[in-house]
Amino acid sequence: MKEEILRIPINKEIDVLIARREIKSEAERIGFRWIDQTRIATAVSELTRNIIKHAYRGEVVVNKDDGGIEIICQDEGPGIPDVEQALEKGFSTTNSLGIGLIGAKHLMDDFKIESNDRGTTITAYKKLK
Amino acid sequence: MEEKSLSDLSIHISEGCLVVPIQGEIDDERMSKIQCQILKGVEDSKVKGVVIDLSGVRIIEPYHAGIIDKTAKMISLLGAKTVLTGIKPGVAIALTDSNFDFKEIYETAGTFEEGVKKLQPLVRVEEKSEEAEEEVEKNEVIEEVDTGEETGDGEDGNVEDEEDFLAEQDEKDID
Repeated sequence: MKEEILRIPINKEIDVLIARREIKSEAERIGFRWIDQTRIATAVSELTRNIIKHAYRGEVVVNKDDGGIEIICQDEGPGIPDVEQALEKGFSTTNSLGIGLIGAKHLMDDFKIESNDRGTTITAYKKLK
Repeated sequence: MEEKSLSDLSIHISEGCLVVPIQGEIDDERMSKIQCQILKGVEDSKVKGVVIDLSGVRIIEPYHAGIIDKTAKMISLLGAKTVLTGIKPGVAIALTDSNFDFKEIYETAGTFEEGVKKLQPLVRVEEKSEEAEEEVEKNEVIEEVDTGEETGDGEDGNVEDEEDFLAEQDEKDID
């Protein structure tokens, strides 16, 4: 029942804005409450910003199913050396200005990181309540 | 990009505070322009209080919230205090779950008027001590970016000035 509804390449700063805006409208169309649309959009901003910062390019794929929305952010960057550490509160590699991966995780219901030296895939899910 | 998203910034001084109303959607370029204008505004006007009013912003990228946080720290280094006002839920989401230590560097208030009020003790003390040498000009508009309402004549000059200013700031590499 999973259906792909969006696929956005992330290559430059403006793509962060485009991804946030388009995913927010999809979330609205699916029926998410405003506050959850904003949570999803904020998490997407953080994750796509990370792609630009660390991997320079990647893409975000959005799937929907009956239960909610799945956001997959993938890149072919250098990978996250220590995923557990990257999820610690306050962790930052580049003195980054965002909420960090932990912040993005808190905004979503499910959050999975797969990372190696060939790239990173972050799969985040938000339930439709 | 929608025209609306490029809303304009009009920094002015009100009751001894530098007031910075931010509206609409923020991107990197706009954010860095805003940061430059605030810092230049504090330097030029020598205010002791800055009110950054976010009531016109519905949603903000955490990265840009981080730049606002950093700007407040810079303002603090310049000797002024920042109050963030008009924070909407969508902005609050980006400001939480973060490392922003806003309690130390800046305060928040519901409305811009409350923000100005909060800064009054600071501004007043400063006014007294500097009474002779400097008068705090009220409601003086020190910087106004093209609001789209102006006639063509003024616009070119403004844009050039701004570009010069930004180029200057780039050289200084304030970030």
